Amino acid sequence: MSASEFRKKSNQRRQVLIENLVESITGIARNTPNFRKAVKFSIENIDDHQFLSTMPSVVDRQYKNLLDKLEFHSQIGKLNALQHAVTRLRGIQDVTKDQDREDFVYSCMRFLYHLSDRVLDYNIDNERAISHHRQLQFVESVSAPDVHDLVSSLRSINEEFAGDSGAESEGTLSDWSDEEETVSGEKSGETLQKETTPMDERDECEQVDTTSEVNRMSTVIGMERKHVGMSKPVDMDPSLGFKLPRYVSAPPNVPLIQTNLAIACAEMDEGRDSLSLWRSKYLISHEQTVVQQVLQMLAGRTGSLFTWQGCTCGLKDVHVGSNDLRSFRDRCDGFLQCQPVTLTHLSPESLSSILGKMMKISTKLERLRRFSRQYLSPDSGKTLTQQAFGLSVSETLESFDEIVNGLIRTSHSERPTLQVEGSHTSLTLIVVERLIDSKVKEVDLLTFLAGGVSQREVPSPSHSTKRILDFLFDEASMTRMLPDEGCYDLLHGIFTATLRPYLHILDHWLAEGSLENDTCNEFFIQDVQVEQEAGLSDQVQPRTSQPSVSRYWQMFAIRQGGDIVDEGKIRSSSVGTITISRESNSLDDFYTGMTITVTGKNGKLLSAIVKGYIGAKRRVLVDLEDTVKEDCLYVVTTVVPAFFRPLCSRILSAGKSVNVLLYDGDTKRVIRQVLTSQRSILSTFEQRMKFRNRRLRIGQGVVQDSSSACSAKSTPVKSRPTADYPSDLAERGGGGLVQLSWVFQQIHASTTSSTERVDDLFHVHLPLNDDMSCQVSFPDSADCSFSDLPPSSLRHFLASADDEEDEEISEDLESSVLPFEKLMEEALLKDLERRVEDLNEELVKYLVNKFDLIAHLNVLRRVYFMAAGDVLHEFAMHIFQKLDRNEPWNDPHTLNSLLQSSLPPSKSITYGTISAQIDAAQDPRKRKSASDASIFALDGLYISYSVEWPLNLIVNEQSLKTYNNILIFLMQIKRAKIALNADTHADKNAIVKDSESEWEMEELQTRDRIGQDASSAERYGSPNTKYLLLRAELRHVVNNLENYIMTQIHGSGSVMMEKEIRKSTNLDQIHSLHLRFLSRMRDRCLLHERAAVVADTARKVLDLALNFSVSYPRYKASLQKGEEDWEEMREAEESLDRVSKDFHRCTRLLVVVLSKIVSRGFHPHLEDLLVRLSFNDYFDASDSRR
Amino acid sequence: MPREIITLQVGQCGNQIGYEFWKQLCLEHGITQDGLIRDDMEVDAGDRKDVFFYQADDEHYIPRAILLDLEDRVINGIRTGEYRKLYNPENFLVDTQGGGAGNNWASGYGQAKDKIEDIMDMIDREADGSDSLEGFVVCHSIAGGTGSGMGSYMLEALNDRYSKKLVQTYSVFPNDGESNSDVVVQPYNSILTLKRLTLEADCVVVLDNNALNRIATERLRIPKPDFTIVNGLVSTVMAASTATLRYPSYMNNDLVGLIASLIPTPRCHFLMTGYTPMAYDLVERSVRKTTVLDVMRRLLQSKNMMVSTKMHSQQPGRNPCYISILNIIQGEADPTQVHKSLQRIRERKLANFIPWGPASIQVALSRRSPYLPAGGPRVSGLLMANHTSISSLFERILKQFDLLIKKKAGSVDELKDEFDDSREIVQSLVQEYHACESPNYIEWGMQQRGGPSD
Repeated sequence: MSASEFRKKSNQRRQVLIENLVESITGIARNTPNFRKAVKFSIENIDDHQFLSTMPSVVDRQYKNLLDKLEFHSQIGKLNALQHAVTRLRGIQDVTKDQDREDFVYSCMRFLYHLSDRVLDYNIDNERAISHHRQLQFVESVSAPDVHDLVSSLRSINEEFAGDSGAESEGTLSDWSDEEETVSGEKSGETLQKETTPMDERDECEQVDTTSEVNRMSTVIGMERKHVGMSKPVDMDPSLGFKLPRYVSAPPNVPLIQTNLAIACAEMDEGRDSLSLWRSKYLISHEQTVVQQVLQMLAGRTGSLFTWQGCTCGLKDVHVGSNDLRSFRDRCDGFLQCQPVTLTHLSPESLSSILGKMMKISTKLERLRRFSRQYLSPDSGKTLTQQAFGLSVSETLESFDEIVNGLIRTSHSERPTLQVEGSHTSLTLIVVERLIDSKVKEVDLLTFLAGGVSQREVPSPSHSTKRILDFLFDEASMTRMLPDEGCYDLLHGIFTATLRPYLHILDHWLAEGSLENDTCNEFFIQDVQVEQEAGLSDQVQPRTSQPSVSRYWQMFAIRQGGDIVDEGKIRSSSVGTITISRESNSLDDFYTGMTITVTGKNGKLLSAIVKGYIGAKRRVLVDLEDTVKEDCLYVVTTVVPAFFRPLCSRILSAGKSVNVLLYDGDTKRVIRQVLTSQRSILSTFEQRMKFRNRRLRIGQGVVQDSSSACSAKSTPVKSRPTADYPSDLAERGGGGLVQLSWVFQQIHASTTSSTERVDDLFHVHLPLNDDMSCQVSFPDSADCSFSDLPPSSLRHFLASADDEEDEEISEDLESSVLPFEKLMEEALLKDLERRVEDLNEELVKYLVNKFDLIAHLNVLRRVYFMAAGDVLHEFAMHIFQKLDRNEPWNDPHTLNSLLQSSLPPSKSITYGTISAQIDAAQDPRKRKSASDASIFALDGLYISYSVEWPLNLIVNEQSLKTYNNILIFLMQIKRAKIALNADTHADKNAIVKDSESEWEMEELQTRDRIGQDASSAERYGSPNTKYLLLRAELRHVVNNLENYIMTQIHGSGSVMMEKEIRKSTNLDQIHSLHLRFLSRMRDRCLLHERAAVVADTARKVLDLALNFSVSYPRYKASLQKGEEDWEEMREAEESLDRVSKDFHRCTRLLVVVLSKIVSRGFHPHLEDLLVRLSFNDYFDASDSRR
Repeated sequence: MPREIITLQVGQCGNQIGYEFWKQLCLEHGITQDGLIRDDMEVDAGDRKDVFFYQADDEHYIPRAILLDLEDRVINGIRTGEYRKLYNPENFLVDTQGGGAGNNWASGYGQAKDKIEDIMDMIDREADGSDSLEGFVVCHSIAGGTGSGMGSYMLEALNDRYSKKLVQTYSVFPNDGESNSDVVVQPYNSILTLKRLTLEADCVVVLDNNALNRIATERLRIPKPDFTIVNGLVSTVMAASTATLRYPSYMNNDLVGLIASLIPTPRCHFLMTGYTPMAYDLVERSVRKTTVLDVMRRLLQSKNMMVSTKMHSQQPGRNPCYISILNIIQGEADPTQVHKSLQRIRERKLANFIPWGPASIQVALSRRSPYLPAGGPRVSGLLMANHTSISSLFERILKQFDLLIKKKAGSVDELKDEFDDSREIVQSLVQEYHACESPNYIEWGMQQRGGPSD
């Protein structure tokens, strides 16, 4: 193949890869002109830069990992949400203030609703996830500065295309920009670069929906990283010097960029000529004007930048927003005109991008201001909720305006400077941008909310209110789930502010039974009533009746305040119409064949209310023997706010049998006969109502005014004074709720204890079905005969109760009087905690299976504990050799390349994701003993090891330090050992030499028998056995130290850790396990400061071993030379003797200290060392000898 | 960085042992008979094949082995056997006449001298092919002619040429002068070789034919064990003793580390070995619990030793004791048990150590080769010990030698000086071992040398 052919082929291949990349980055569909343009641009760009590595294998490999990462992110997000829930639930008890409590209860309810409905099934949309991976992967796979170039180029193309290719590319781009921020935020080194790259300006999405999507997704991808924090810190012994670990990776430290460039420029030019000086000064004032104009624009005032006649001083004019602004210029209402603006320290692109951004913000601001004005104006006919929303929006805007106004004030000063992050900077465009940057998100959010709230016409105020509340609630809870505290706080604030009027109405309705507060007819009940009017007359269809048999219904009607109008027809002003029909002629059995139909606005109302959360419901009207049955399907428009439905359902249907709610349209009085539910929410209200001076005492009202038109009930207390009813409550006339709950307790008790009593009690409820079509009253007169209630009624009651709700009547009703806190805990905490556990397990699985945590820990062990023979061996040997030769050893480049080469390739270990570097000799101890010959020479060595998120949650800096300490100690031992073993091969030669020297000696002796120096004979006589034994002793201590650490401590420790990690169920646990393993390792390797005596002694022995290994060869050499080197020999001998003396002192100390420690039982692991050291009691015995 | 070891197999016995040794290594490293990596197993063994093997151009593994013999029977067997493709054909050296050494030390020694050029060529070639040659392993017997004579010469030559490399030998010692011994002059050969082993080797792993046979009959329950069985035992020991080099961990991953920790004084470098569980024991493994303690305790029993010595001497004044012990435990050993085992052994005084210096049982934990078929013992152990009772072996040989000299068997005259010299050195070795048993060993050198002057 010729060269040109080859080039052609490779170019083709490259083009395919680039096309793939462009597709994944921009999201533009292939085969469109835009795509071709983008590809062309990219190729040109790449040709210019020659940077991009487009190896498919790299890309593929990263995909997989990134998918896992994303999943991990989302899991952690979920976990956070859940843990937050648990924490808040646990913290319920602490809330004391009434108001706080109220807020809290609502937020809890909202929260729970959301949890049950959404979060737990929340999953990231797959396609979206993949596109994010691609982007993330792309950024990671190529070098960052180049990426910024390419990306910004691609983006600028995309913005050009924005007009034609529409929302599709826009959305992706926005994602991209957020994505990019996250990535570069991680790499703090690039931060500055990013800040100064003008292309990085965020592309603000005009479409609110997309913006919110972006926010959400960026929350999913990025923000969570900052919130990975677990709720409880890992307990560590503070004396160990560990800081409490944090999962939170620190937010990128964004330095405030150099803002006074213009001034600096001016000062630099000052020395030159007057023209430059003038120019600079002009530029400064020019920028000030621009800033002022921008601020004015932001403040929504006239005199905007775009009507301002700019400079014409002969400098190069730049048109603002030639490209960038074009796309949204049309959408900007007020600020249309572009005028030439020039600033020296900003490139035209940056300038236009900043100004463009400002324009967008001010457009949004203006829109918001108009919105809030509109909603707040008294004659706009907005509902209370809308007004509340408008108010909260305008309050938020005020905080923004404050900032802008402050800046305007500053800008008008002589030399506008202000203090930002502790330093004084002049007020330039970039500073303004930076300062309002934090608010931009809020403005976006507000715009989005305002858009959502103001959309669409709705049939009625209650619909509108419902929609607003639902919308806000959804947003708030969505943000809550994806923890971005800033957004959440804002949304939460707005939501609670908006909800307040509604709650007020609700509260009043519950407490007072009136809807006086509902001036705008936005409460859901109101709505039903309105709808109800039309159908009222149709429903009144009396059927045959036999009033004579119905004592009960007479009583009932009387109690309703109505009168019996006709045969079988009972009119009640408050109930509507109640029809009693009888099919059978039997007079004996009261109930046989009788159909009771209650129609009328109130009955409907009630059903509708209940159905508010169901949507449609079957209403069954039955007789008791199933002879007549009336069904009708009843569909009601949903007007209850979604988050409120569970609550309503509790209020309205929890009581099952006697949940009666009457509404009198004329007097606007709600009479409520609430039966306490078996669940939480109702009892909350119960408590709240108690707080409100117990005004809801329906029973009392009845007792005091039995002729009242209000429906009322009297309690069984009246009829059965013998029942053991709490006397204090009875005296108070029985607070309705308390009484009722007591009644139901009684019911429950009877169900379980005595059927007779059950019968009695259930008489009360007989005529009801759960549809609440009619109201029941508790008869208080003795002439009501219930004894003839057939047993079937009980069945019916129970059956219908079962139908109504999943919860059975036999459920523990006693819990109904538990306080809210307890109920919340009982009902939810367990479930939540279980889910937290599940998630935690999931995360652990991810960490262990997908991210190979254990493999990484093994690598760490291999590297730092030199556990796998060869790893680091060459590296260590290299350093030792250099040290022995007194050469400089701490050249980082050499060390690094050595380190890299000494990590062997392995199939099972993914070295690809790790990089080990050396910060060699950062802190070489400049003390005397730290010479190269000393054992302490290695102290400055530091090997760092970096792993990717999320593994760095476990393997963090703190743990690496410990790893390093251990490594240094191990290397010291190794060095001593190698030094001691170094001349082993010379031993056999020594044997030969020994035997030779024997002969020599004999010759010597025969030759110089007379006048023979006795000492020389002795010297020859005991040549090196003494030192050989010394060497053996040294070896013994060093070897056993090594054995002790590697077998006993490291071997068993790591086996245990691996086992435990595989068993562990959450991240915290793994983290603490790892830390515990490390601290144990450290303690047992004698590196804890409390063991300093032992460690120092051990190091001293190692040092002596080194000394020995230096002196001994000298001694042997001089021994061979004989007389020639007398002095040398003497010196060597002395030095060896010194070593011997020191060594014996050290071992004695070591053994004594160890024995003491062990005998006191402080550190059981040290016993092992002691056993090994004095296995044959040599040291003990030698102690006594000495 | 591999620390390579070159193996020299000298003589009939040496080559037989070596053959079994390489067979075992191939098994443990997943190398087929052709030298290729087994492709039926996907394991990341993390082993270091290059200590004993190197790779040819076609990636197949070749042992760093040199096979020397003066008769062609055994080597021809290897050349035509199943592992024929494994070895480098250039590394065979057989006497073209095939006459052998005729059980004569001097003949073997002399023939080696003649062929030393060729042999050194091979050794140099292998040595040059290594990055950082650590030493040589010599397999031979000391009773016959080739193993002892040629082996002796090779020891001298290696020490001469590669004085800075370690030389470890696996030396098979003969049966004690029983009638079944087919070599009359065996004591001569032994004593002459023993001199070289004392002076020229860094470490001698003593394998005693008596003990090997005893283990085969008693432990393996084979009434009349043949050479294959016995050689299998030897290869097991050799493989286990090099396990820490081939499956490296932090400790004991070089030969020098192994040797240095076992041999405090250079002359006392004769090691005895023990291994458990034996193949026969495996049959009973269903009723056995192989724990670390269990293995370590068994290793200290003299019935498991591959050397027949009187470890508990009744002789007055004698106190046979361990100079050093290294246990290499292979398999799924629980590191936490090591300490307990050491404690137990110390409490029960199962091992008697020297009084003149510190000593302990060193324990090296090693992995079991993932290539080995499953079902082996959970934990197995090898003991390498430096024990003073090894001197009884030398005393026995000395005794036989003296008897033979008295009978004037064979032609002794031309070697008289050599015999005297060798005898003296062996005698002094025996004395040194005796001295090791007393607390005053440190003064021994002085006394011994001071002796003549008195």
